Amino acid sequence: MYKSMKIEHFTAFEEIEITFSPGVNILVGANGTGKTHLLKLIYAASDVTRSKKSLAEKINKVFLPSKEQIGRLVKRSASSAKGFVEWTRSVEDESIKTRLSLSSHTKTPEKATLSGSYKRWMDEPLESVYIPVKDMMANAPGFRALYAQRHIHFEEVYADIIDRVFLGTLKGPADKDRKKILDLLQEAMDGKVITKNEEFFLKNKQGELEFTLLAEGVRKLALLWVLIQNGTLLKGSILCWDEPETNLNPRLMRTVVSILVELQRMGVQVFLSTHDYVILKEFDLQTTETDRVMYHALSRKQESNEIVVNSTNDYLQISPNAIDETFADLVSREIARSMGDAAK
Amino acid sequence: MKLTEGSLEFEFKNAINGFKFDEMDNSSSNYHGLSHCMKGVDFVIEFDDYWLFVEVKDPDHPDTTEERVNKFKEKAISGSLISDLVLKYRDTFLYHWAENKTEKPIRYVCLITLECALISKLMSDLKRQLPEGSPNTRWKRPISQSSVIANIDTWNASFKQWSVNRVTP
Repeated sequence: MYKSMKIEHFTAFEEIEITFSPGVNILVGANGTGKTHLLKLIYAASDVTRSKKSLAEKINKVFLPSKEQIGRLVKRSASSAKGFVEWTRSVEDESIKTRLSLSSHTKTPEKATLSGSYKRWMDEPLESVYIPVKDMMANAPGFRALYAQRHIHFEEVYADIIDRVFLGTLKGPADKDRKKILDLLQEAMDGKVITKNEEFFLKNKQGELEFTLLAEGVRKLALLWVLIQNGTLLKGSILCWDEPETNLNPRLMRTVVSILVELQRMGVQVFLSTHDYVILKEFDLQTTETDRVMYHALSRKQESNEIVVNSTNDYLQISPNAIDETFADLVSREIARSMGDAAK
Repeated sequence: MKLTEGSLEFEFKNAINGFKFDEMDNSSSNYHGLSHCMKGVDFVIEFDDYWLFVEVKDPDHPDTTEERVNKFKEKAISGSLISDLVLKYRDTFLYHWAENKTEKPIRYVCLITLECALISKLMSDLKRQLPEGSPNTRWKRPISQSSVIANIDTWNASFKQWSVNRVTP
């Protein structure tokens, strides 16, 4: 479980430190405030504990800087600069840290420096999944092979999600918590997911429907179904989800949020980014005092343009709330149109 | 011109005149004596080119409870809040007609202390129930020139000459 993350001079960040909730962490903020970067950093540091790849290499693959020169991930400045990312997680009441440092001249991942308890970090496996904005399940056939054999320009999170989906199913019946979530999903999708030769189908009363024929929103539910069914999302695992609202009918958001809340109750640490009012409001409505939800509002300071974070447990205290500000802007413009000169 | 409703103080700098509609003192010249059968908005204010009706709903007032806020939101979402706002406008319109004050158009602004997303939805609902302008060529005059809803922040951001502030008693 992640406790915090500290970043200096890396990608969009000048200097930032975020303390996480052990439950759900919701990143909000305008475009270009680094939400996806944070998700990728969390994911990369988790994935390497399983895949045993080097952390620097993984970071390079998920961020994909030009010509894969890792030094390009250091925040750009007039002169040469150094940056680092430091992750802190707790393993059985103990805090362990690892830090990746690099300079703008670092060309290859091997040249980046790792410090802190890196060995211990790698010895404690952390199951994780990153759900990117674009759906990959319908494109799964052949993609894995192509990604493995050819050097195609895709951020690794896209290949990884397909790999997670193709893990075998857990043996034996699903435990009570998992069954509850799977039932919720099955009801919302009106069917079950099955695979045949790397191809996914939704099986229901009408027969077997290939994913390319399904609405993107239903594919998202199906993806969650598979990840829970095959045991990727279990107690102690990490779920990073970039903009769950993409292609999702607002009515389905209630189901998605109730699943995320249940996963948190089961012991999954959730990180998600959102631009969506309904998602935020659903979390506000569906959680009780025993649930652990934290909202992290990212914004740029007016004078320096530096990204800062303001974290809170209380929905009403989210500040600045870019989503609410958008509604305020809509309301103001609507008033101006109706009132004409009377508003002046 | 300053007017107060509960703990909210309004100022309308460019107003000619204005008063609280439901005057409780029967010796006052603004006492209408029909509250047993007709509803009314909170303020009626006169400007050079129009009349302004203002209705205030303040679920977020300082002594509120979560239960009251939730009840109010239920009312807002079920549509009964909008019916109430429309009824208040129409009855006030009738008083206004009976007072022979029909020469200028009327604008309706409701202040509701809810979050912006809900305000946006409620404003659309209000415009549907109390259309702005003349929706049909049969009507020669609009029933309402403007039907809008704001919360404290959007009120202060939108109206250059009007302000609303919460005052501590």
